[in-house]
Amino acid sequence: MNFATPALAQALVQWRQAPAHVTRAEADNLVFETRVGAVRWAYFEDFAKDADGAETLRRRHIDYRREHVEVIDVPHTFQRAFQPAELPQYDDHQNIARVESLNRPLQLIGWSFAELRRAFDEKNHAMLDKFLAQWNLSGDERPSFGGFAAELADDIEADDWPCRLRDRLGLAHYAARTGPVPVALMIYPMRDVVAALEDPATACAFTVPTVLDSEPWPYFFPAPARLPYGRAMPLAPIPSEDLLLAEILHCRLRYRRDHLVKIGEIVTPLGDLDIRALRNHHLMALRLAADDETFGEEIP
Amino acid sequence: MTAAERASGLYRHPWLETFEREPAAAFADFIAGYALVHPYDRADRPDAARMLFSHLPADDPAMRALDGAVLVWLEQRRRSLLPGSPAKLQRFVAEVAETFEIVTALRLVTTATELRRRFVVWNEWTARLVIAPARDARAAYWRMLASTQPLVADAATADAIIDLEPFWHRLCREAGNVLPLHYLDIGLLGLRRLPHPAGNPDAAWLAGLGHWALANEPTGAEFKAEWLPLKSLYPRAPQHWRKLVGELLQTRAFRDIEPPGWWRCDRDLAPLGRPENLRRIQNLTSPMPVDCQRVIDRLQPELDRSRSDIDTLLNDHRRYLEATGNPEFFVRAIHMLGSAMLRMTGPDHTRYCRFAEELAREGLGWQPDNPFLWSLWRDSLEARGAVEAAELVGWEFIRRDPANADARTQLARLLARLPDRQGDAELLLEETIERFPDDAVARHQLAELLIAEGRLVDARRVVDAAIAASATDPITWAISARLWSNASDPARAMQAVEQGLAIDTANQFLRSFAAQLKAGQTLPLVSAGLQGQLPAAATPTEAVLPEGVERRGRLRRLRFAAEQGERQAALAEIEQVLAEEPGFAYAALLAARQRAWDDAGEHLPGFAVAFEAALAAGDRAKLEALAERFPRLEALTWVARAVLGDAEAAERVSHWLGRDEYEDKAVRGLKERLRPLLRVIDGGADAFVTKRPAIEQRLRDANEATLDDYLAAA
Repeated sequence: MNFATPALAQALVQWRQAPAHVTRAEADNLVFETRVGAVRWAYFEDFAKDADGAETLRRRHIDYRREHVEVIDVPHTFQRAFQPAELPQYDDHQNIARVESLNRPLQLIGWSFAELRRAFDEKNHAMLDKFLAQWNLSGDERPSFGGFAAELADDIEADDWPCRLRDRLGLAHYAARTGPVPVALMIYPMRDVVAALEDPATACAFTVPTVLDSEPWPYFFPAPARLPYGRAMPLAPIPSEDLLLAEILHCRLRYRRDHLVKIGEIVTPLGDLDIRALRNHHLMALRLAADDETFGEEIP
Repeated sequence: MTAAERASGLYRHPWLETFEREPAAAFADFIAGYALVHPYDRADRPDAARMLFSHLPADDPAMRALDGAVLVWLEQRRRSLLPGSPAKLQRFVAEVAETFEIVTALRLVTTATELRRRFVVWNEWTARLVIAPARDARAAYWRMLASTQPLVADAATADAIIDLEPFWHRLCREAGNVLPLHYLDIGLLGLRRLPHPAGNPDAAWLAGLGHWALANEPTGAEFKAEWLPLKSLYPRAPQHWRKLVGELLQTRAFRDIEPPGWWRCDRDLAPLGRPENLRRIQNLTSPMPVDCQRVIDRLQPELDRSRSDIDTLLNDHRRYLEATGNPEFFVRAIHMLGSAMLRMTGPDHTRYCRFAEELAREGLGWQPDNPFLWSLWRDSLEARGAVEAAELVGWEFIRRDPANADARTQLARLLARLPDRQGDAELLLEETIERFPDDAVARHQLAELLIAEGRLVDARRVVDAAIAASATDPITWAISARLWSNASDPARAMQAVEQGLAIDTANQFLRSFAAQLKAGQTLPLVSAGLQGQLPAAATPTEAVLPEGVERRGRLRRLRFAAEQGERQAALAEIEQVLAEEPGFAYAALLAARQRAWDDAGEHLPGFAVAFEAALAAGDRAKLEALAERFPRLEALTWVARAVLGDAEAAERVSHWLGRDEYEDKAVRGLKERLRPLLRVIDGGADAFVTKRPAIEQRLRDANEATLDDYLAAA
């Protein structure tokens, strides 16, 4: 995408010249993005119009996410008025898989991870229902990232599923460098999400993730428009485009007990990542998958 | 990084260096999401904070800096105006709530202690930061208080923090009625995290759950959904629960509940339904008034010699209180014992007064609306010479309980004893007579004050007005008799005595007056009760009041001054208070009343401020919107709309005045005070026009009483 406002265009150029690869990657995502609707992009451009340099533009991106995506009403992501990047077609009987950090909901209810794990292992329905009710109540309407359970089946079955899913879904913020991260694996059918959508006339349930749906984040990589889904960037260089994992966003779902499939901890600390290598490999895979050599640009 | 690095605690994120250089600014960037904390940029702020700090020891410089920076950031937020746009406001609330989460997650003891020490201030502020369950900074604040109780108890000196136990019980009772149902979990969390429970640690939260059920009458399924998860967290033998539940259900508050009550859903507790099983469980008993009287009878001039008896009595009460959540007996004992302590005139008079003061405050934690405890608090301050503090407590008592004429006459009595304050006492009594025309006490108190000042003609006028208004009692007639007697008219004096004896034939004063008049003597002019008490009875001394009480007391006094003609000076002071603390609701309310509050800068005022602004502007649409937002206080908006000429609202007020039902304290007080005013009117809208000033004044009193008052005396 390009800014029409010269000052913003200049700020973005400046941002991309940052020496740190992670910082440049964040700016690259704005440039590589093709799926943001014209109305939404114009809104964002107006929202960011006061930005006069790389850092202020970055901050306006964060502000946009905080004020229009991470919200308690319908996020821009799904509003039809903003021309969302809606999934073209899908069978709503297939299952979505999503990894959720449990630190906040556990603190909210005042339980330890061990207490929750015991309740889960013992199938203590009263406790699990209580936990989910509290968690649901505290959640806002921000978009949820998810992959398809069928594509992740091997990882889900593995003993070290928390770490494998973190790495495959690109959840670098669950780095576990200072301690284990308690997580839950949630699996639920797409039709449950469709049913949760309050007003299909004004909002959609599923979209392809775009750069404006996250804060500046080097582990996000926009997918070329030719691909029908987003593609999660894993935390290890992928050797082939066959391993690109479909990634979607969906609107808020209130979890039920049957959605909570596994509970575990991410214990393996994330090592230092070579973001340049990760992104360049991912870009190559995307180009091959989309058969579009012109998409994106490597980090030199 | 390696596991070895993690285990050794050597891992430090590079951003920590930036943070330590300028902690306050860096934290502001962090919570806004701007800080470069790769790869935690995408994590929610509390999660990111955990990953950056949680492995560091408490004495690490970064941890210490964080503890300070969080408090600075919160203070800055509290003193700033709320954002205008809904998008920015929801973000503002989210960031505040996330910061409270961080305090808990990282055990920031200094911040947690300070946030608790100034509960009244933070509570008032966060009360405005409730948009939705997912954007509720008040819930986050309360949850932080609940979770950090053990942390704060370990770190703070006992007198630096307030006891939150009554607050958690109140949350449990009000969850599902006054407050949203999900606040029950916070109340129960608070009771589960009490740092030093006096008795069985499970009893307190069990009582909280019981009182929630009592107040809300949940279905079996609803109760089960709350009880079973808690029971699972505390693995105990069934007998343990049967004992605690059995004890609870046999207390007075639950006398209408047939055991096992709501616990019928749990087969472990079903045996409680059989009387023989219940009989085996010993009744919990509270000390009785006779026990309290025994301690009072044995009070020694030296406090230390009585201390053991007093502590034993109070601790027995506290144990009962914790296990039952029922403060009825405790506050009654406090009032009895505290009043007796004020009468101890020996060497430890001041210590006894301070003790009574502490007890009054402890009792008010449990029953914040108890008028006897407010009186005890005020009187204990006065008795040890802390008259300024006593006066402020007296004003706050009036603000909180505008339907209570005694609160006013008692304060007037205090003012009358102070040098140069008789004028204020007189004005307060005149105002009280205007607001409570049927109250005989205010009238004869004013007459006594005027007699003491030698203004006998004015006193006669006050007494005659009382007689004309039929607001008399034996004392009114006694005063009348004294005035006539000293005006050399013994016949009319005797007539007055006879009128008084017709009300109370056994009245000793009047009988004595009759005897004196028959003997041809002149009655004493000045009341024996007032002689020797002017000016103040004790040497003035200082006292530190809880912040909320002091601030509101000062403002209530300022309102009084403004209404007595010092409007400009009062307004200037209110504006100064608001400049220092823009979120101070009572100051904003008073400014709004004077049309000096700018609602362009505030987009989420509480009910009281918004109501005052809407009333001052005559804005019916805003009043209707307020009724939707605060249905509990809807009656106030009907009255306001009726005053503004809305016939439909007048009709609704008329019906409402005729009904008796459970209502919010402020609404109930308004109803009590409107009924006599509108009693001759049969639903006619005209009354609202002809009596508008008086109705508006009652409405404003009621509105002030709606201000949040949790732990007012804390």
